[in-house]
Amino acid sequence: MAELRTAGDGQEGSLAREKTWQRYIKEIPPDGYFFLPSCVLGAMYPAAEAMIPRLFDLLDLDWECNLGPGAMCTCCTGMSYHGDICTIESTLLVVARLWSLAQQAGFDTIATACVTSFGIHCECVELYRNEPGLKKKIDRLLRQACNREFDIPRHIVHVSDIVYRHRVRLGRDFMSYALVDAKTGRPLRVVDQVGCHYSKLFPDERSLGGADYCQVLVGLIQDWGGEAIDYPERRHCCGMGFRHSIITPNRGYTAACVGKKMASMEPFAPDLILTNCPGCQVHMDKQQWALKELTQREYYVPVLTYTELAGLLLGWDPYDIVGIQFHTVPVEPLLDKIGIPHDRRESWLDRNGQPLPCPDEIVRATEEDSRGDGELP
Amino acid sequence: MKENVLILGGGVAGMQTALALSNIGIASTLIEKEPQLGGRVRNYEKLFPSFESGRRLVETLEQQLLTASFVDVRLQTKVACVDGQPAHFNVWVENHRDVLQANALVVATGFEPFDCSLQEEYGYGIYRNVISATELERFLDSSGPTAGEVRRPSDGGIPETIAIVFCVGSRSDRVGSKYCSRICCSFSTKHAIEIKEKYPQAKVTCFYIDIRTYGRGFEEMYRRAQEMGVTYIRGRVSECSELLNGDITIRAENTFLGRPLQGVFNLVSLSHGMRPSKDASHIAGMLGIAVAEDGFFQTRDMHLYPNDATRDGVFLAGSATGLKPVPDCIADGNSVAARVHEFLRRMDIKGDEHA
Repeated sequence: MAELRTAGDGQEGSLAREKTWQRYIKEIPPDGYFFLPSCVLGAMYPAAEAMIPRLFDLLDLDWECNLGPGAMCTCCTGMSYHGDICTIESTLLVVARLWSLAQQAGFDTIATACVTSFGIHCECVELYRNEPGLKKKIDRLLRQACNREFDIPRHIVHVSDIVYRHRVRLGRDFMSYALVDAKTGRPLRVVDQVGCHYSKLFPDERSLGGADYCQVLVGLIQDWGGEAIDYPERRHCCGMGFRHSIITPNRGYTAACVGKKMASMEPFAPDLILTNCPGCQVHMDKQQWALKELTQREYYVPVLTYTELAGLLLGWDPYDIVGIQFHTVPVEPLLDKIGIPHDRRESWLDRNGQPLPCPDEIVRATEEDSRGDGELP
Repeated sequence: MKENVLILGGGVAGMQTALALSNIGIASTLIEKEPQLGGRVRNYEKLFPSFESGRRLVETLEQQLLTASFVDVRLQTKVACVDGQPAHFNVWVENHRDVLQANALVVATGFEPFDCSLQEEYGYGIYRNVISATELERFLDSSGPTAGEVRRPSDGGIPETIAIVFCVGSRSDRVGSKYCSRICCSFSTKHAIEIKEKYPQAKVTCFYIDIRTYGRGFEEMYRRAQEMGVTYIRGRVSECSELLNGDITIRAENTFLGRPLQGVFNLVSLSHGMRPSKDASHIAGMLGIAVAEDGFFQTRDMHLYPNDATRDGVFLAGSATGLKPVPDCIADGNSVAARVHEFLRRMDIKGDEHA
């Protein structure tokens, strides 16, 4: 007979979570990544994606990316596949070509910036595993289409997996700041928003920590000084859902999903929402503005990707490198909490560093900052 | 040779097998790894559907064993290895120097409760007010740690709204239990009735897939629960989450209405299914018998020989072959005794010569 559990100090929950995480083992190779960028992340938060190579280089990792002039990397078809526009054979073919490029470059680990790409690549591997003869068929189609050969890669990882693998080193050797309120020393309360296509498609072998208590972002939060908070709608999708969010009149459903999540997390007073999915990042950030317009509820909890958070804690320039000016929900209050110095005028510089026309309230706020009203002790 | 039959497992099925064998003059050695007999039934204050005391049932069987002529009980004992042939088994016992010789072996090793933390979406072990049915049973036990009061582990308060989630670890491919555990609907209904008897104002809600109260008196117990005001909602619970005050929100689907629903409860009890005994595969390997796909011991023929293992001279009693309520375990003990008797006669070994 198991002993009855009684009121405790709350540690038992943490221990049980760790026990749960130990059930999931995922091999993340230490090095040698063929990096595939995201369609959405680079378009909406370009700095978040541009920081991935910067992080890899900081960690002195061996990686490659087929981008720039004459680039041969393409979209993985995720948007159209999940939008019911293209067939699975098209997806398999396009992904086979991407694998072929990686193998041509001598890499056997695919590292995607996008959670849906991660899901697509994993799904392709599963299909090859479970459908005898499929590999032969796609081999033939790939030869016909572009005269290429491919093998199933050994590892499919998401870039957040790689950051998770190196999180301790990042925090210990490189970071200048921690997820701590600089005034009070309180660990910042962080909500994780893990992409569904990372944690829910193949939770047993592809997701760090499984679907229910996914560890990939929680590990970063805890190792970098913050407190991960659980709330009832934590596992709820951000509402992106591809087809309906592509069709403008259906976007109300997305806003409703974000609204449900925000209302559920509000009593827990989060300081930050951390994402590893471009779709989650876009919708959790932009829909907070939509909710304010629609319902007059202003949540305005800053939303950052894991690379943006790493960049800020590493002390990289919040505007020039981390690109927080692309965010709809202002990130500056979070910078103030952590104690990261910033100059709001930088958000109104063009690519040549010349000032753009700046709204009056920004000018006023900047002047107040410069007088010391908003400065940290 | 003094002993004829070796019985592995001192739960109610093993105890009844030993008694029935003794009554027909066949000697047996009853081996139990725990310090006392009675297995899990010893911990049940009330058995369904009669609400009689499980503890008292075990005590009655113990008394009868004390007066039985041909039963040797060995507690805190485990079998180390077995060799020999049917009707001539040699059994090495851990912590004992002697080798027991047995003409027949009876496996009555029972079951294990499913570990609720494996069904992660319910947050067992993580959320303080999500408890297992085994823990609820202890709460409801008048000689338990709370003297029969149901308490929230988070703050010790008496819950006003209680959810009972059926089929946790049963009928689920994902957690490797495709089978129905058969007794959970009934013991969960028993729990609901006990709570309503103790706290008539409490709101008890049961989430179920199908109600399988199949035994004699079970359906009547289910009806009684409904008449007492227990709410039954057909739909599998998809998720539990904790609120700041420790309450648990449950997300489920009402499959009758075809609508999702969400509710907040002070306490959630997970009615876990059952799994084969942890030692089942080890014992199967040791005795040279097979286990079925569900992990319980394979019977020689489901219809004709439901108590025979796949090897001659080895018999199966109680929940070793799948979950059974207590009356079925007792009946199994008697059936196995008859099968053993028939086997010994067939092999020309007369147990009554030891009388």
